[in-house]
Amino acid sequence: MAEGGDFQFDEDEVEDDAPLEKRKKIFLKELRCMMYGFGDDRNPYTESVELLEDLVIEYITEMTKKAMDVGRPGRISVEDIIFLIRKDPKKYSRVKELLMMNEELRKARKAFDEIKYATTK
Amino acid sequence: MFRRAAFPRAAIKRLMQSITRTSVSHNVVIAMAGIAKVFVGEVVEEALDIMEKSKETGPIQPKHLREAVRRIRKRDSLFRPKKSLLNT
Repeated sequence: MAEGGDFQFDEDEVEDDAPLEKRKKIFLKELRCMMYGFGDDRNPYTESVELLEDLVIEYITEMTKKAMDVGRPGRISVEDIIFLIRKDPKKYSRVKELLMMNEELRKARKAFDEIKYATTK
Repeated sequence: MFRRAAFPRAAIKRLMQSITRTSVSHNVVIAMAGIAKVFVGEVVEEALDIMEKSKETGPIQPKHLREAVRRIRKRDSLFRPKKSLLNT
């Protein structure tokens, strides 16, 4: 199944995807702001935003499928994702940071709720 | 006031669940949204780099994004975009 050129091309995965022109645009607003934030023009080209959305959806799709094969087959856990990106320092540290922040928020909310409960008894 | 741009978690969750056909936990969605944003940052930075080297100005064009992804893919064997996305 090897094609000429750099890319491997999994024919199994083609059937699930809508043709590119018909793919629903779900992130356009957020992506536009994100691109500006990362250094693009204040008004990015719409065609660029749309292409980037397709690339992001492709990326998430690939990562999701790979994560399903790792660990418990057919399920995704955070550990699976962490395993996949273990060699990518930026992504790895970002995920660790997000999960740590999330945990701290959760504890803070819980502590807040407990105080609320104690003072309204 | 400014907010940091982020991918909406509901949309990420829906996308992932359409692929896994099973429920996806809160933490997994958070992780994936975060990784996707880093991915966008890498592509945009690379595209800007390409533009700078060829002395182009203005907003990023699709051709810059395509070349950026090609270069990133060489470094990161984990992501293989569909060939059709990269055809100019």
